[in-house]
Amino acid sequence: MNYNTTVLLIIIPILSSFLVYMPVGLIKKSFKIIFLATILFNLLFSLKIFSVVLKYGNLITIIGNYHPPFGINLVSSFFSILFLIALYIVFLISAIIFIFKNDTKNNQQKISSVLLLYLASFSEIILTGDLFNLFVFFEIFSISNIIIISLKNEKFSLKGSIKYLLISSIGSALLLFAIGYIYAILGTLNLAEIALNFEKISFFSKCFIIFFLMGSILSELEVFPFNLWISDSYAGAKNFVNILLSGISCVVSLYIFIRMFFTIFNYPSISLYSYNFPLDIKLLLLTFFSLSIIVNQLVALTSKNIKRILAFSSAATISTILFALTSGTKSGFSSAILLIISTIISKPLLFLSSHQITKGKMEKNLDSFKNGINRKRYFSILFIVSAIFFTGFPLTPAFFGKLMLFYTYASKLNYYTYFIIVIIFSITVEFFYYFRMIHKLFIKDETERENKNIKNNLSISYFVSGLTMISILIIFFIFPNIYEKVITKMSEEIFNQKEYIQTILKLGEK
Amino acid sequence: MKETDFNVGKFFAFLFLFIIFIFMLFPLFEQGNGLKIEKEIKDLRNRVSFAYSTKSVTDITKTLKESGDYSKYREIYNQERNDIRFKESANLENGSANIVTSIVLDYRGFDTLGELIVLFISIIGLTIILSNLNFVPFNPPTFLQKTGVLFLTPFIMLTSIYISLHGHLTPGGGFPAGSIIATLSLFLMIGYKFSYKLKFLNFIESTSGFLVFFLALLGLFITGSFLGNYLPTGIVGKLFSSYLILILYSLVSIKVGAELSVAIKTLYDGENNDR
Amino acid sequence: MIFYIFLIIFILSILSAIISITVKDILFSVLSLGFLSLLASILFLLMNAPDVAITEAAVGAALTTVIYLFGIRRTEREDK
Repeated sequence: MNYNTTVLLIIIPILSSFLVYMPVGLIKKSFKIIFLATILFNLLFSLKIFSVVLKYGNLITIIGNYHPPFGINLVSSFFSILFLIALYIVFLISAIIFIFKNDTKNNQQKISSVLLLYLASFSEIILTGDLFNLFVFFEIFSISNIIIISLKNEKFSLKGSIKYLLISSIGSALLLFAIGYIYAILGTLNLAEIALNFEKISFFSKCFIIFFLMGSILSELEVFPFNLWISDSYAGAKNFVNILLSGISCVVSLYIFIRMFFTIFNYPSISLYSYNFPLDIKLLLLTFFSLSIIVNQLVALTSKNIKRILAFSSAATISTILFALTSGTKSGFSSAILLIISTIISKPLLFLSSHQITKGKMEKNLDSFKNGINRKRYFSILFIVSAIFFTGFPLTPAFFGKLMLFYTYASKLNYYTYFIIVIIFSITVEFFYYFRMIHKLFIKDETERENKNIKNNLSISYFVSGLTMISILIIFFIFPNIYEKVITKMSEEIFNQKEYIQTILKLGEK
Repeated sequence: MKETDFNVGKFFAFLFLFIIFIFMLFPLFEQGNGLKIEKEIKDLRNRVSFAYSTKSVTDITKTLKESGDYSKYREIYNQERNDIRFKESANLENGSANIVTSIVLDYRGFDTLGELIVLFISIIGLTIILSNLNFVPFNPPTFLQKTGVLFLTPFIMLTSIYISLHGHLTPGGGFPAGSIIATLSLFLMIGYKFSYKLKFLNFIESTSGFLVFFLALLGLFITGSFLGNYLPTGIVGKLFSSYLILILYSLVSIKVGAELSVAIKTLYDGENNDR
Repeated sequence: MIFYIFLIIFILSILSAIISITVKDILFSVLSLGFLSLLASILFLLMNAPDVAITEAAVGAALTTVIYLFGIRRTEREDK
C-alpha cells in the first residue's frame, strides 16, 4: 500500500531547520516554539503511521512518482516505526533539556537547526529502502554527531570530535566502497532487489560487502578498536549530547546492522564455510565483540570520571547486543531487542540523574556522588532505579534479555558456547561498579562544607523528563506482556525476508 | 623538494592500503552468478540506469504493474524505450537534455537534496566551532592581485550564470555553479574590498534552501508524491524546458554559492569582525 | 596514444598523493592536493564524464585549496 505522506517525517524537520536558521528578528523570538513543535509533529505523525501500519501491514512511500526499482522509496514497517517512536521520545527529552538552558544563548539558533537535521537524518536512515540514500543521510548523521560533540568548545570535546571525525570519515569511505561494489555486481541500489539477488553472488564478495558495511558502522557502535573517541567526547560533551549519543546514535547504527544483516543479507543463511575462502564469520564476529565487551567493562571499572564510566558501560552493552545478534537465531534477536529497550530507556536517565547529582562539584569523580541522597533526593532515587533497570535485576527487560542470551548460546552445545564466560564476567563487573556508585550516594561526605550559594531548586525540564522516563520504566515493569507481544511480531518481521521484498517488488503474487 | 618525514609507520600504512586495494580488486574477477566485470558490466541493460537514459521509466512501470512483478524490468528493456530526438521530442518524463542532470535532480533527486543538507550542516559546524575566535585581518591586496581580479571577475560571473542556467542542457549545474559563485565572492573580497554581511548571506542561504525543499514538497500535494514533476516539461534541448529542474538548479546554485561564501568569509574575517 | 596519457596522469596523481602526505610543509601538501584534484578532473574529462570534471575542478582544485590555505594562514605552517 502506498502511503506517500510518510516523507513528511523527514521533510518537515528539514524545512523547519532552514526556518530556524534564518537570522530574522521574528524567528529569533519564536524559534524555540518551532523547534519543539516540529519534534511533537514527528512524534504524533509517527504514531498515526503506526496505527496505519497495524491496520494494513508494511507501507511503502514512493518519491518522485517512480516506483521502487527505479526511484527511491521509504518502507515503514512495524519494527521501524516502533523504533522511530522510541527514539523520538528520547530526542524530545534531550531537546527539552537543551531548549530550557540558557548558557548557549548566542549559538542556540544554529544548534537547534543542527539538532533538527539530526532528527531528519536518523528518521530517514530508519525508513529508507535505498542504499545510496542511506549513505547520504548517514553522512549527515555523523557530521551532526561531530558538531554536537564539539559544542562545549573545550579541549576535551574538540579532541573527541576530531577523533570521531577521523574514524567516521574512514567509516563512510568504507560504506561508499561497499555501495559501489554492490552496484557494480548487482546493477541496483534498491534494498529489496539487493535482498532478492544477494544469494547469487559469490562467497568472497559477500564477505567483502559484509566487512566493509560492518567497518562503516563500527565507530558509531563503539566497538573496541574504534571506540577511542568516546572517552574524551562523552566526558567533554554537554548533558543533552550524552543523552543523544548513548540513547540514539548507537541505537540507530544497531538498527542499520539489524536491517542489513537480517533482512537484506539474510545473515543466518549465509554459509559459514566455503572451499575457496575458508572463513567462519560467526566465530570472527564473536571474538571481536567479546574482546570489545571485556575491554569496555574493564575501562569502566577502572576509570574515575562518572561520565566516562557510564559511556564505557553503554559501549559494553552495545557490544553485548551485537554479541546476541551474531547468533542469528530468533532467541538471540529477542534478547537483543530486550537489551535495546533497556538501553534506550535507562541510559539517558542515568546520564541525566548523575549530571544533576554532581552539579556544582568541581570534579565529576566518584567522590562527588557522596551524600547524594541528602543533597538531591529525587535524582538519587532516579539514579538508583535506572541503575537497577540497566544492570538487569529480576523482572526487568535487561534481566529477561540476559536470560535469553544464555538460553541462545547454551541450548545448543558447540564451541560458541564457551563465549558465555565473557557475558558472565561482564555482568559481574557491571554489578560491581554500579553498586559502588549507589553505595557512594549513602556515604556522608566529611569534606563537604556548608555551601548555600548553590541554589538547590529543581529545574523543571529535568524533573519532567525524568518523570516521563520513569513512568515508561514502571509501565514496562508492571506489564511484561507488552514486550512479549511486540518482540514476537518484530522477530517475525525481521526474519521474514520474503515479505519485505514482496511489499516493494510484488513478485507477481497476490 | 622540501624535506619529508617518510618513516616506517607510514610505509606500513601504505602497505596496508595496498593490501586493501588488492582485496578490493580480487572479488571483481571471482566466479559467481552476479554480473561479470569484463563482459556484462559495460552493458547498461543490466542496470537500473538504462531506463533513465531512455526516459521510459513510466512506461516500464506501467507494463510491470500489469504483470505484477517489479523485479523483472531487465527483460522488457528492449520493448519499452523512447526514441528521443533533440529539439523535437516533447512531453517526456523530464525535459532535461542532459541525462546526468535528469538522474541527479529527477530520478534520484532525494539524494541530491540530501547532499545539499550535507553542505549546509558542515558550514553550520564550521561557523559554530570558529564562532569564538578573533582573527587578525589579512594584509591589504597588492597591485598585482587587484589587476588580476579586475580582469578575471567578469568572465567568472558569466561562467557561473551560464552553468547554473544551462544545468539541464549542458554539463554543470547547481553545485559547480555555486562553487564558482563562491570563488567570485572571494575575488570581490580580495580585489574590491567588497564586504558582505554574514547575516545577509545566512538569510539568502536559508531562504533558498527552504524554497528548494518547499518546491519539492509541493509535488506531494499536487502529484501525490514528493519531488513529483508538476510543471510542464517542454521540448528537449530548448533553454526554457523542464521548468522544475531549471528552477531547482538555479536555487541550488544560489544556496551553494551563499554557503561557500559564508565559509570563505568566516575564515577570511572571522565572525566577530562582521560589521 | 590515449593509454599513455592515462598512464602519465595515473603516475603523476599517485606521486602527488604520496607527496601530500609525506611533506613536512603543510602548504606544499595542500598545493599538491589541489594538483591531484586537477589531474582527477582531467581524468574524468577523458572518461567522458564532463559533469564530474567540472565539479571536481571547481570544488576540489579551486575552492578546497583556498579554504585550506586560509586555514594554514590562521595556524602554524610547519609540522613539528
